[in-house]
Amino acid sequence: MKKIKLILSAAAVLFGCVLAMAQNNIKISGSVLDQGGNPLQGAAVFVQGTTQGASTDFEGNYSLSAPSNGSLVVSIIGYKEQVVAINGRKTINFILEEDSEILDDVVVVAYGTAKREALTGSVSAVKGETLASAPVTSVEGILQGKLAGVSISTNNGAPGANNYIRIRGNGSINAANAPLWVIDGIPVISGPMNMEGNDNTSSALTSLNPNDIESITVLKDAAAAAAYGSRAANGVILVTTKSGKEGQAAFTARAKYGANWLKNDSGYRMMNAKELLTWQRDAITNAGLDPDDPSGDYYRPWSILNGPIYNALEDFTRIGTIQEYELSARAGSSRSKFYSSFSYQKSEGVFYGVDFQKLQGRVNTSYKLLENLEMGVRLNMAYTKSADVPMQGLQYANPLFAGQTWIPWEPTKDENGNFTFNPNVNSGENPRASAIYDDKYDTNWHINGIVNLRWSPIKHLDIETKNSIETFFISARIYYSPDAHEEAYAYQLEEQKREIIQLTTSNTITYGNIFGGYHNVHAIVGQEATTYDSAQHLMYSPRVDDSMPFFLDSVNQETTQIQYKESAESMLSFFGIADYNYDNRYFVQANIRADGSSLFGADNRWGTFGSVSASWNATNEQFMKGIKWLDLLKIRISYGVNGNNGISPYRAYGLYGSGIYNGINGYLPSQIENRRLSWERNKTWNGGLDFAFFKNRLNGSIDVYNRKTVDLLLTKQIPQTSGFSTIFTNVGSLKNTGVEVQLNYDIISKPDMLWSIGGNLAHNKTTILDLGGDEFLGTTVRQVVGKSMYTYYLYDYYGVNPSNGEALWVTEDGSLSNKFQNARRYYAGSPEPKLTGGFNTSFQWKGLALSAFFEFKAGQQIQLLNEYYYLHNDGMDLTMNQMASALNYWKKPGDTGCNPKPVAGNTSSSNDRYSDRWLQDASFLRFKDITLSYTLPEKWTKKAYMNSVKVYVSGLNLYCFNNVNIWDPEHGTTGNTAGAYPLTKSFVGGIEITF
Amino acid sequence: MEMSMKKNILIAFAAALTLVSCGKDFLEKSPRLQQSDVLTLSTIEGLDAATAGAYAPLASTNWYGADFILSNEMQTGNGKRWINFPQYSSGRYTENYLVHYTPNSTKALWGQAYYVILCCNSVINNLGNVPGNEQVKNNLKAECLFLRAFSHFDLVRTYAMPYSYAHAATKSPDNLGVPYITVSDPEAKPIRETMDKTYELIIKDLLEAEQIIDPNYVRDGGEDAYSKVTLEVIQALLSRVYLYSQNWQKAADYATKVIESGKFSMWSKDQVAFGDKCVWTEKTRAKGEVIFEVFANTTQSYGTGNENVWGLTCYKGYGDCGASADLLNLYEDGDARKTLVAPDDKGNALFTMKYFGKGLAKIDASNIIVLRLSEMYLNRAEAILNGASVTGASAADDLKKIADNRGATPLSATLANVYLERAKELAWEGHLWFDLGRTGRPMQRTDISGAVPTEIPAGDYRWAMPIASREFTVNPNLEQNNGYSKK
Repeated sequence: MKKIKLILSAAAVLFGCVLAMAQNNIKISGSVLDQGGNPLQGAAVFVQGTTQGASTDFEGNYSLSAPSNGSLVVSIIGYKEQVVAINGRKTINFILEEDSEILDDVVVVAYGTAKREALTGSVSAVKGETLASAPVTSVEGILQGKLAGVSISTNNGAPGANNYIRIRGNGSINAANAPLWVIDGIPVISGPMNMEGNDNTSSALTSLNPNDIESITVLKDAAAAAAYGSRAANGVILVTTKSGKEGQAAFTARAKYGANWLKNDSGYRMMNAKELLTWQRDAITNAGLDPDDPSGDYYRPWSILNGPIYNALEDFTRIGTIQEYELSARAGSSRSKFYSSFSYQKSEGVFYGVDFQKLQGRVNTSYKLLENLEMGVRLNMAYTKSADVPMQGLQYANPLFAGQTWIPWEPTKDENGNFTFNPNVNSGENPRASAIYDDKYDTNWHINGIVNLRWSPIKHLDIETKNSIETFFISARIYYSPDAHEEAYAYQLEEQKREIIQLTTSNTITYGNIFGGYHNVHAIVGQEATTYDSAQHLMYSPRVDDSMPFFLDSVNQETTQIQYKESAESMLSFFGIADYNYDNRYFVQANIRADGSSLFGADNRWGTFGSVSASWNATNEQFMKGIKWLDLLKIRISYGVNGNNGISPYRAYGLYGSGIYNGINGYLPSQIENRRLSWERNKTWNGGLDFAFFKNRLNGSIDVYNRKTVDLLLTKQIPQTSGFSTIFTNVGSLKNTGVEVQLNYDIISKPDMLWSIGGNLAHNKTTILDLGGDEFLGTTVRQVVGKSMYTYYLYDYYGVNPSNGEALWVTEDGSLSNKFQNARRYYAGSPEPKLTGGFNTSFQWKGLALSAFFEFKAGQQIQLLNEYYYLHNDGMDLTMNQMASALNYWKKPGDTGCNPKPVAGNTSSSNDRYSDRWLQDASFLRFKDITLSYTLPEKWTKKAYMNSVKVYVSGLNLYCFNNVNIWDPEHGTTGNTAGAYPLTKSFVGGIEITF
Repeated sequence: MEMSMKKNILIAFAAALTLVSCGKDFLEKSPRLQQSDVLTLSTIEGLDAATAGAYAPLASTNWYGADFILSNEMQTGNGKRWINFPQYSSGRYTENYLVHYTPNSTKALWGQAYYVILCCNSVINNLGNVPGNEQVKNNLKAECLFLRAFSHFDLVRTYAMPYSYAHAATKSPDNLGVPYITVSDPEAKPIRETMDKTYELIIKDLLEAEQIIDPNYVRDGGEDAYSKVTLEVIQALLSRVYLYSQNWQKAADYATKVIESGKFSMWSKDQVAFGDKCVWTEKTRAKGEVIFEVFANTTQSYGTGNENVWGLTCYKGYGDCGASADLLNLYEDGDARKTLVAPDDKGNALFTMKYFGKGLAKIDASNIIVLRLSEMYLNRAEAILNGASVTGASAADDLKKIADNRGATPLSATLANVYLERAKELAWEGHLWFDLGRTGRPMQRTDISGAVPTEIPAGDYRWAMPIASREFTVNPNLEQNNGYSKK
């Protein structure tokens, strides 16, 4: 409540000003520093009881005239106020103490920081403390379920895998839907970086060490994100990494070890040998055949059970492990700051052949060259190696699919106990043999360096330039060994190399001042430019020498193929941000940004985006002063327009490709020019309310928004008389509306004991308004006008015919038919959750801390079309094991509510992929993590020359409440990914020592 | 010290800012792995390659690669689906055999032909801006003018009523041709020209091409010299276009120009008969009669697998497009052409032998002949019998020229006999349906399988194919043919 005092003191002075004027004034100057000796810019220095005052400049210096017998008041957000008697001194320096209670009020925003109180847009932040306690291995993992309206969907439990983040739903059909990541002020590359052919979906952000992060801020609405105009349509995630602190150097060592295994909380399993044989024999009998006839097509005598029985899924899986070791150090002096970390991580997946290793190092330093000139370098380097096995589809090489389909009486090993690559089933693939003998991996060097220079030539003015290089060097290798593949497929080698270089320069001029004690002005103008270049080589040979499986001279030059791909993009931006507030009661902000992108047509490269926002902090009004239990009541409103250019390069160009005809290499038009191709635009309204009661023990915020996307980048039909059928252009619109609530409550708040609970809840609804004349796009998962982003278009399954056990379908006229081809199709459901959120609780008593966190999503459906087509096939294919749920089938007239009777060689399409029979409600409540930690008492640790020692154990994904008959209810944004590495549950233990 | 430092800092910041100040060039990132149209169309080399490319779609399965030939045969008595043999019943070409098209199941030629027209327009409309030898530029222009006219000609034959019917009609859509596109524009919503105007524009393009092409010009390179536009190719097409539009004298004159060019020679009876030296087997094809053909190679802009003329007319492929006994019965014994309608290896179903590939062992292709010398004689004979006169030529002589080289009895010089000889000679080359239509004769067939129409009378709406429904949703100015809806 320091700001209020500040204002009060300023106000009080109005009355006493005449008195003050009568005093004998002397000129006083000095500096305001924090405890680390860092200058505090923008601190208000006032003569107590007067309006006479000044604010500090970039170097923390001030100067003013004051009566020699008066007192000076120094105040700045985040620090305890100080009052000092002048006593005739001409130089007075202040060292302010951090006020931990309100430190959280400062958040990182676009191109700077802001007081939470001053925010006019919708912003969510996670601070260092929260980050440090979470035993996560990825940056995205930190955010999962923590922030209202930030949805992270995982469909892949593999170590290092990419997560799909959506802020306030999907805003685009063809352009990007992922938010922009900005690390230390520079937009970075995000998304999966695996090479074509590999399945690890390795995320670009794995190179970021979660322990290096100081804070994460998510900018959700147009006003908050508008400063990043062009690419801000899907929100912006700002990450700030740690810096050194002045004072004692600290050195931290961390170690972590954990184990994980496939999770299955809904009783999902495959049939055992006896169940499968019973089912198969019934299927054969239902087909009018005899399972005991040795000469029949299907000979399945009971005696099969007397032979050896195998469990392929067990053979293909193991207990996964994760281990992580890290050293970090931070130090600082009055001139320099230093933070550094080095970490090593190694994970062995649950599936053999899935291995992930990471070496990462970071150095963040800054040095004051002059009092008003600071230079900083932030450098992060990471090397990752992601080995994988085919996991992204349903083929027999996928250990998950093969393990589930494997017939229990078919051997997985030969008589010597070795894994064979040529089993009787599964088309000659044994994933376990592949895991041993094949090569399939990506290696990735990711280097990200930022150099910045900050200069304050005069008071209140900062000039800063940030320049960064981000590079990826990715290599991929796939080799099929003759020990794991038949002759026809063995000896193939494919290697890929890709280099990506992104250069960014970001230059800003910032001005901040307070006039007359009431008028706070803050303004930034800036310019940014980015280039992105990617070059990729692919080499393939159908046959290399197995003893030296490389591209040697001896490789057949005729059959070896080489391919080259490249792409380049650039962007140039100019922007301005202006903040003004009056007396910390009324806040307004305006942003404007012009972006030029090489991705668009020559006539329409430039887009101008902007926002205006305002807020009113009622608590600072005089008439609210009397309400003791109310600490904060603030109303926010904003409107802004952001852009989206998340499309592949060159879509605006008229292009010719090559076509060979009559042995002549000619050119053929391959893409129609669209000189007017331009930005997709998001227009967002946001209204919000922030509140805190009872000495901040209950606090939270509510936001409502309406985000309309116009000029959607879509493929539009055009007359074929033009020579083309479609043109990629800006047409169509959709909208997202929603509400978000975030609440925290400290149940117990005593010095030794802290118990808090918190939660967030968000509802988002996407409605497609216009698809440029089309009624819908897509085939099975459609975009339909008037409906949500994704709608399943499925055949209407009615159930089993109780009289004969056949599948029944609902036809167009509503009657029932046993013929699949008569079934009607309808819009059956959507994979988009209606509600998302999470809640957490943490309890601290002395050195002991227990925290638990739950995440939930409700109202979404998944369509397990591919899994069920094979694993619930009603007898279509007797070479595959089936889900145990298929055992509930029609056996006698009158049976209802069960599966149709299995028929060997079933051709009735009762198991058709696109029927609503496989649509399942995927709502879930996930016990995401529980962590118990203990910080040893200082008196013990000091004796061992250690500052602090913390040990912890965590359980992750311990249980998921859901009704889905498959491993896990999460199946990606479209709810139908097949064969992906399921989420695992794990236990992790660790220790953290600071010297 | 302080001042000079400040100066240096200022310079550093100024440098960072000016680094990116040239925004226009900075934002220009053009693709290097695909040619931009600007680049392609700004040099003579690029225009040359774009012209070479314009031929490629002719070989697509929507056009000469399969559908254009096979539809026209299956819609007449030449074709038959041997549905009693499951191995020849993949279901392909059912609608064509039934002559049953809807706006949602019509031929895909529309998009394909207008794509070639786009290829041609891009060259024609940019040649003027490019420096280069005038004759070199004229030769490219002539090739593109030819291909543009040729594409519109196939479009108007497919998607409009026959010329004679439409020419006589007075109101739309009966009198309509097709949109004639000389500037390909994605924003344009063109109307269908009248039939007369469509032919006028086709002939205009062809006459200009004839005038500007170097008489000895043959495009460099390539595997087949006859898959390229030459003066005689232009003239041969002019003969056909004049014949269709009943300008008998011009039809005869242009046929004569081609015949008298001396560049083509009649195949002999032995060459035509199916066997080791047969011209219908690609590897032994003597070019003799060939004026213009479409190059076919399974790896070069041509239907893959069995989806091409070869695979659909061969018992080793799908075999959905069989030949009928009606066709076989046209030929007298001893006529070499009778050997080209032959049963499969088991003697069950009849097939044409005109697309016998380059070797029967595997999936293969035959070049598809579009214009050849026999047609010129037949064009001239028909024109003369309709009143044209050519010094030193007679319909009887022209008919005899064909018959003598086929081991057939020469027919007397009547129009009916010209039609008969034409049906025999040009069977399975995509002529009969159009010849019946333009001469106002009904389509009749007796050797059929399944419930297919045995007769389509002259003037029936089915002589014109429907334009696809998707086209009406994006072009309100377009009119559908009689008998079909727009949806």
